[in-house]
Amino acid sequence: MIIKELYIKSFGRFADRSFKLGDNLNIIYGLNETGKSTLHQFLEAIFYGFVKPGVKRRVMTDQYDKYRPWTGNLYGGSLVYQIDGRLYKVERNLEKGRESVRVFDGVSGEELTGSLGYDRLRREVLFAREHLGLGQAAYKNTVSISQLGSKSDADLVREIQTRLGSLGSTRDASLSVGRAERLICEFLDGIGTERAQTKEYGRLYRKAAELEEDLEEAATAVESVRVSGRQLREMETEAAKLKAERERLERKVRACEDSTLLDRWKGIKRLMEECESLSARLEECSEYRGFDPAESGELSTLGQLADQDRRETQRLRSKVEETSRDIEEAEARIAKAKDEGLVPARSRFKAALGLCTVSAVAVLGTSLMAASSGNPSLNILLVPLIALFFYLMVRVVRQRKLLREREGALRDLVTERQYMERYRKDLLYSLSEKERDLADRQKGISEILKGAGVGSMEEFRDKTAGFERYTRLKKCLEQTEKMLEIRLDGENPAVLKESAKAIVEAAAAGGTVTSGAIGATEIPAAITASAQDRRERLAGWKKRLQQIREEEVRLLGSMEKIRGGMETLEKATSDLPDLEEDLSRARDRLRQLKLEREAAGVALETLREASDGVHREFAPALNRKVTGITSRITGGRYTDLRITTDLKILATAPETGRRVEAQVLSGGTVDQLYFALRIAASEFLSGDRKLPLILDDCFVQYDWHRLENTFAYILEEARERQIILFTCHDRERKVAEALGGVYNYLILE
Amino acid sequence: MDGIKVLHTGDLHLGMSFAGSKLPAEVGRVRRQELWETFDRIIDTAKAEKVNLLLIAGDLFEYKYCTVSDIKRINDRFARIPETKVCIAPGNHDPALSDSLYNTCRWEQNVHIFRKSRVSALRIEEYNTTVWGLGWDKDCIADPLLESFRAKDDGINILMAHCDVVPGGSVSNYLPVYHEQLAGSGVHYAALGHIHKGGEIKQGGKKVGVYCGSPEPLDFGEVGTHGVYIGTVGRNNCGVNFLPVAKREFVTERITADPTGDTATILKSMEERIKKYGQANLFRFSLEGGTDPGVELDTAYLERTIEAFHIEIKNNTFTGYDLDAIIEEGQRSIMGAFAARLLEQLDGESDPERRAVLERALYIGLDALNGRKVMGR
Repeated sequence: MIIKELYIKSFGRFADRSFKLGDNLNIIYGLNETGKSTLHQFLEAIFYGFVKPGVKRRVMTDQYDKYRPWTGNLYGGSLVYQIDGRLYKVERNLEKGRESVRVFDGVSGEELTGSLGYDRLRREVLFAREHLGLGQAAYKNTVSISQLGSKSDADLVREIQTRLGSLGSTRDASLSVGRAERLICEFLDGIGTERAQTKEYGRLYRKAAELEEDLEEAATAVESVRVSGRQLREMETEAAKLKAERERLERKVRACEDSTLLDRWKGIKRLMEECESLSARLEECSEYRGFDPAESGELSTLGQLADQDRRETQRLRSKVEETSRDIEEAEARIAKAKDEGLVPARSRFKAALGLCTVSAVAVLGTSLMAASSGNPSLNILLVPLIALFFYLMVRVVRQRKLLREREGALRDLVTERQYMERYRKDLLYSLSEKERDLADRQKGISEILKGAGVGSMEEFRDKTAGFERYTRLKKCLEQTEKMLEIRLDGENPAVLKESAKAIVEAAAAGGTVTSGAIGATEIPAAITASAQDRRERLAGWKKRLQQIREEEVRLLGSMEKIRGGMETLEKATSDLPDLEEDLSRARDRLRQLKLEREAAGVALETLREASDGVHREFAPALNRKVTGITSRITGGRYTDLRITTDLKILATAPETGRRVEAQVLSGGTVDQLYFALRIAASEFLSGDRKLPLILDDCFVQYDWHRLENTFAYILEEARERQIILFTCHDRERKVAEALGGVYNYLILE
Repeated sequence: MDGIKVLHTGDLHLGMSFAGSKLPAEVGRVRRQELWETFDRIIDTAKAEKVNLLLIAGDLFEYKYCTVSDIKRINDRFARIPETKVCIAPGNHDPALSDSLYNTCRWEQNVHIFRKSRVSALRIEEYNTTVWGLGWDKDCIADPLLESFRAKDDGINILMAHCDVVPGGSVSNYLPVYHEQLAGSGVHYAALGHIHKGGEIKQGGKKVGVYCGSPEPLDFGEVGTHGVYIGTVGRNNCGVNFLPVAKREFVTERITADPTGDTATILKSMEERIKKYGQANLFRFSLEGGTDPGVELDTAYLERTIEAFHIEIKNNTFTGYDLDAIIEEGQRSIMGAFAARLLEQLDGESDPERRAVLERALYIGLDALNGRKVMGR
């Protein structure tokens, strides 16, 4: 590509100016502020306009205003260039709102704009991309080379290293992977991590953790409140049941107590009436109050003994009379036994004995006769005689036995009479003894009666009985009064009477008494129950009532405790929504930051991968080219230039033969290195297109020798490609002249 | 009686957390208080209009957040309208579980709660009306529980449920009720809850039910005016109409950002919208469109500058890099190589979260390569 002609309608300081360029080296000379940079910028503006590169819409760069025409308003111009032998003319109007680009065939004048690419978003005809094969960024790296901005040698080296690194890894000296990495790392650092507590992520992470803890506590509190609520509800139900039962029991107890009060009143009333009655009766016996019944015991004993003696005397007399009669009867029986029993029995015995003796004689005689006679008939007679004898013998034995019995009976009767007589004698003795005792006792009684001033035992007894009645009544009255006192237990009977009256009246009215709730239906039942039954029931009810009251107190205490706990817990739970909201926002922000971190990480990783890829492809060739160019422009002084992967530029110093870092080289040499670098990059990027090379005051720091060496290279290069050199010095022209170079020389004024 | 006067509401969500709505805690606190204020307004309306039936179709409060004190407060409000019968059909946010405050607290005499997930009837002789209802007593109800329901009573029949009205046979875990079931239920008014937007449900052009909607909108998904339904329900006529009661509205608006990041134009657009809807509302502005590289919108500044009850600005802008041009440069530039690698990954990525990371990485990298300080979102 060869730029043939520039025509500036209006651009910066220029208006209606044409510049014709040569095909090889063009030296455009001008002092400061004569428009070198303006011309340089005009070229770029014609190719790319003032539209921001890489932006998806038409946005003007700051340069637009910077190069607005000082005079006139036809902001723009045209350019004629040649590519592959064909001439093109580009006209561009840069004025906002009227921007236009038109491309023509430089020979026929045919407009070619429509056949070229068009960026609708940025409203740009893409002729430069087609004709130069470069985007704006690449154009800046390839076609245009300006001087380095750094002043000190050290800064210069660093700048070269940076740009070298950028070119090596990005193919764009304006881009820096290192810087991009640093920016991303700064961004990541700004976000921080979980552990970096001063950074946003760490702060939020810690806050979220704290909120989660608080939330967990609040959630636990909520659950506790819920559990407490259930417990409270159950307790309330239980309390209601207990209350109902208590009230029922209280009514029963009250009814029972009323009934008991009524009973008590009845008892007290009865005792009071009894006291009155006893007092009246005691008054009636008041005459016996002074009687001394001290001898009444002795008198009574004597009286009793006298009575006993009297009764014994009487009994003994009767017994004596009875015994006398028995003796008389016994004598009669003895006489009768003698006369009617013993005498006849003795007679019959004697008779029997006589007959027996006769018979015995007869037998004997007969026997003797028989024996003597031998008359058997006598023997026959003998048999009846013997039989008679034995018969008579039996009669004798029987009569004798009878006689003995009658004699024995008579003896018994006699013995009995004798015993009776002795007994009567004893009786008579006892009788006399008793009669004497009786007389003694009667004497004692008389003395006592006399001493008591009474005439008789009856009178004494009456008076004693009167006194005893008086005493008994008095004692009874005292006991009754004591009982009354106990029953009353310090209460005023009149008050009791009124209470009882009220109960009865209320019961009769079917209502309740003012002192308590006694159910109308419960009074009769309570009143009608037996006292024992009532006592038992009452004891049972009171016991249960006491249990209920204790249970109620315990339950109410527990409920109060739970309510208190719930109030405290509910205060804790009131923060729950706030905590959730805070946590939700913290988590959202954490998610966003996490995404940012992850994205930054991905960007960093991708950047490094892309950089490594570009570096692998581009850096070695770039190194070779830079070394070759450096060798040529330093007159073979630095032939062994090496750029390490950590961007150190190493060169072998010809004086010592030692490899040294660029920092130790002179500023001019470093400037040469930079020039070599840019030329190499330009060649590398433009490929075989042979694009023009624009050098903007690149040799300011060069001494004559270096300038010569460099220009030797430039003049050689200018044979292959157009070179446009802007300079504010005349040295470049002189060097070119000195080297016999061909060049086109333009002066800006 | 020709008809009864009803006030139909629900979905109040008293005590709720606005964490899901992404509102800041301080705004959430105010909104929670405003939910109570709205509840008070509803009670006041019921009292002033001498409403016979106050129908609360679920989600009166939040099971998770509501306390015994809150229930006391609710009961206190119900006690102010002793002449009004309050019917509540618990919803999925306040299910009548065994430990629910519906079951553990004492409720006013004029309150009837449908505690079981089977249809039961509340006969109100005074109004010759039967209110049929069912409430949530579990966390999930996927069975169409109204399948065999048909109102049997004479007089006025009203149905209450917190349900999801869906086309016949559809599946839902929020107590599905089919349009056909509502149409064939034989009720004179179906007071439904669950859909916060509210509105009438029609089947064959005929109104078969009404969603009361949330009387106070709860998040940015619930734009527009919110309120309750009030009117007369009779055997032959049903004149129940919408009555706005909400204190505020949620407003979502899209604003195309100036590519240069000029906040003045954005502010102007926002102010116009705020003026249109009123400062008392909650606004969510979505900034959209591409911005020039290096331009970072200061949303915090915008939020600080605009005056309204609540402003939320979502920066959905993107840096307007000409990626095609960058990739084309990729043959010669690290920027192109970088962009190409990430765009290639994006093409093969379907996971939205990963895509978001890759897109963000692309712009972070491009900013960094252009020497711009990477600004967080």
